[in-house]
Amino acid sequence: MAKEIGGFIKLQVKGGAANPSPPVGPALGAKGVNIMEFCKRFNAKTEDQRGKVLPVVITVYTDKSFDFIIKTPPAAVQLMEAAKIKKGSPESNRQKVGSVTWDQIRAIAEQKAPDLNSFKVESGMKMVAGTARSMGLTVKGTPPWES
Amino acid sequence: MDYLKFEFQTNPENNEMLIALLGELPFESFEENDQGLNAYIQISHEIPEVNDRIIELKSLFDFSHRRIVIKYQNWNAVWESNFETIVVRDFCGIRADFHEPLKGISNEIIINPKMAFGTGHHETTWMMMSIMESFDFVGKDIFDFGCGTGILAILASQLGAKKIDALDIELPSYENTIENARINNIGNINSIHGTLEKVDNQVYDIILANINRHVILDSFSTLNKMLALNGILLISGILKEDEELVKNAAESNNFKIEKTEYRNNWICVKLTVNV
Repeated sequence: MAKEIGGFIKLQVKGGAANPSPPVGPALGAKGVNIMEFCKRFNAKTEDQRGKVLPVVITVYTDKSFDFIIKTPPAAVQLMEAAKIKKGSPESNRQKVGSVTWDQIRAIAEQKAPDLNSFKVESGMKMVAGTARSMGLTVKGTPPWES
Repeated sequence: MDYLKFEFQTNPENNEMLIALLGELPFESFEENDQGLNAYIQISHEIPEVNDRIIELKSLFDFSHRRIVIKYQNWNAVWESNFETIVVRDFCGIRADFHEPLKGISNEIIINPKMAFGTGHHETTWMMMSIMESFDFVGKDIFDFGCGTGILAILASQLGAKKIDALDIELPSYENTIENARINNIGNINSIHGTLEKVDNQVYDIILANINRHVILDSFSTLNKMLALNGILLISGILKEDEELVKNAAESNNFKIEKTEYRNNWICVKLTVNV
């Protein structure tokens, strides 16, 4: 028989950084879940993405057991990762946030494709580029559809 | 450890971008809601850049924010107040002080966890204890790396170890190990708060390391030097999907793989040093 779901908890936690403090501690602790077990599992599962902000959805069952799903990082988080690759150039030292290329925008748009309705690469890229600019990132070069 | 909660009141459309930009700082986790988001950081990690970045973000996004101190408390208290006892065959059993004594068990351990890891419920702790049954601890010097509640150090002591150094980077674990050793009437556990450098000039007969992949990978070469001749390193806290990676690293650090145990998705590996 399927276990009865007691509730869902949605958080964003850096890979490898779950610990029994807020918000993980109070959110899970209040439901009687063993927080230490969640932290051990989450941190082991995210070893390859240490330090990256990851959305996690935790299902808590009425018997105080739990499951969780780690989702793909939001486009904004991926943009910051992409901008970091360029760090070290003299130009990026003057910029507060940094810049990304259209190739990087395309890669992120393609990865996010399952989340977007009636997806076309070009419209996805425009959305991701819009997010980049709102965050203060420069998108370098000419969009592929203009070149 | 006290924490800071930064409450941001903003259009939730900004949440994703604010989280990504704040994520560059030592914020550890975030919680979204209809009025915006909360960002959490250890109070000791509140570097000046945190305030600088928030001021900078105000030029990009429309939001108000406030800073709230969240005092340390045992968030795991509900689970800890009514957990069930657990046994590893008739070899050992774990209970809290509010349970009745266990019957028919060779080694009974009392653990009052206080937000430290290690009650035997988790696969990794269970496997570590299970394999420890086959080791000879009598008169040996032991190192418990990442001791949590001190459960493995206590078991080692009950099995006849001479002296146990139990190390943990987390203060609640250091304190909990002292408390649990006392509850179990054990006097030969030396609880140490800090990182591996605190003991890396010591030599041990058996090293118990139920931690995680990256600490174990980073520590292999040091742990190798800390093992006595014919010493044993027992590792866990590693998922089955990381088995090959960890074993390859062990072998390239001159360890020999003696035995691997599996329980659900977790592994526990017994290693010795190649002579």
